[in-house]
Amino acid sequence: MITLYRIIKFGLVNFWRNWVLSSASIIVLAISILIISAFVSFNFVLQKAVEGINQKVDLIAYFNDSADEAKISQLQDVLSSWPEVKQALYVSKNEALKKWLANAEDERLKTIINEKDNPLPRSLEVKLNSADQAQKVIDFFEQKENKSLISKVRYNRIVVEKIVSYSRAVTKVGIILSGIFVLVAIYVVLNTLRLAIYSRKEEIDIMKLVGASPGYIVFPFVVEGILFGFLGAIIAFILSLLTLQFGISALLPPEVMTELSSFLQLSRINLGILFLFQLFLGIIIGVICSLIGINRYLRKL
Amino acid sequence: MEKKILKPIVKVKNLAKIYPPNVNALLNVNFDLYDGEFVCLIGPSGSGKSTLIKLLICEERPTRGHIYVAGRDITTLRNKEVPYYRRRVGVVFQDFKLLPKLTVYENVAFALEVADATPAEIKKRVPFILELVGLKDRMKHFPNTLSGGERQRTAIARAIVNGPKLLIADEPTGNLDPKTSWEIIKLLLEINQRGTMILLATHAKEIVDKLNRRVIVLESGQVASSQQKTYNL
Repeated sequence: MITLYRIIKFGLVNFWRNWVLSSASIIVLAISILIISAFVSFNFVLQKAVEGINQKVDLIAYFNDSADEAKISQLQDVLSSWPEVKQALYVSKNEALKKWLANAEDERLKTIINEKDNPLPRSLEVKLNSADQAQKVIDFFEQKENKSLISKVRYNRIVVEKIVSYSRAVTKVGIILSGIFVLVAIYVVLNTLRLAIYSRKEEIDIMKLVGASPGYIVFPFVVEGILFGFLGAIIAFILSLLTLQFGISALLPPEVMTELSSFLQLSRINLGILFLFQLFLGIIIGVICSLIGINRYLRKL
Repeated sequence: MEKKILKPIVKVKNLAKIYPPNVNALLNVNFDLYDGEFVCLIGPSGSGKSTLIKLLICEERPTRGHIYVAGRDITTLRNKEVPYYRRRVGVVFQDFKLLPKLTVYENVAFALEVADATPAEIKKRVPFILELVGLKDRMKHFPNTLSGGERQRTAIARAIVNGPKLLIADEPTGNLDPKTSWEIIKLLLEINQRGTMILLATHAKEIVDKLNRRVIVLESGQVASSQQKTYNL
């Protein structure tokens, strides 16, 4: 207990009295946290965007007028139970008419088509969770017992396939780019902390000669690493808030901005998650880099 | 005029250190240090003094031979045991080796803290030792605001605060002017009188002559002479 107290105190004293070195480490760590969070959020947004586009893909199956209502609703139930299917919406003849009337512009046609004389077919609008699952639904409609009910399946194969392949590529590129930047950021922090520890290698030798055990030498550096991470995360979070508040809105026109913020769901909860993420990142990087930095000086007796 | 029966606390036997590929820093060194002694270790540069001290504080391992301290062979200490050994041996260096970001008080307290001393012990012991070395009014100073002599006194205070049986001083006056040097030597004599064995490695012939104590002479890795001086100071 007293040892723990001493180690923490020693770490804090070193942190404070080496304030030039400490602030340099904190700033480098803050910038790295910012870069990493920017890329992780970028990937997150990209993922959401791809998901959003995928969810806009839907299939519509039009039924023959002779098809049995019970069988159609059975079909709807089966599709609704699939995990790939977000929603299977049944559109009756009347609803189809209403929809059509709402969109139709030609007044003459409007008088010809009415409730008593309605040529519009019943349909099932299937919304998918992801575009690459469309084929499964199509196969289902093509099955023998279902095929007889259906007059036509509307689905733009080329567009959907393009979306699928683009979204895969974009996600992949995003992850690779982020990975590279994250590695670069960590490498920079590692080298900064290594240099900071290198400049104090004589102190480490002195501690050993006085009879400090390895733990007594390492843990104050870990305490410093935690502090660097903590303060770096706070700076990174403030910078992120400023960027979101002023940086992006200055660059983008306001209507894009409102869409973006609703898209990002910039709520307090999400900002809280961002801060926790940065805190976690900062402390983990700070501690691990300190440990790596000090390790080589411990091997010598 | 033998006052008491002396027993060896440190026994160095057939000690050799060869740095690869073929630098023979120490060839075959044998000597004993007795309880309460003040011994000077002299020899020209490259004679192996520094190597011998490094071996004595377990900073390096010998190629051959043994060093027994209080009956224990320290050349076979496991890495984990080395810190415990060092807490029981005081060391003072030419370049002081103080922690630059700690005050005089904190530097001395550090040696007690790593040895798991209680806060009460530290509060009692550190001011006492600092008074002994004459630094009571410098407790809150940082090393870079002290003179060379004051820094060496701080280092000596740190070396003896754990109450070691043996204090090794490696050229402690190397960076000091003659007057300050002699003050440091007098402090070492005082510590010796309180019962701590002292091994003083030095270049300064005038100090060795004036001290008139037992002298171990190292020459090209071997003990050239190790006479037993009578105590007549």
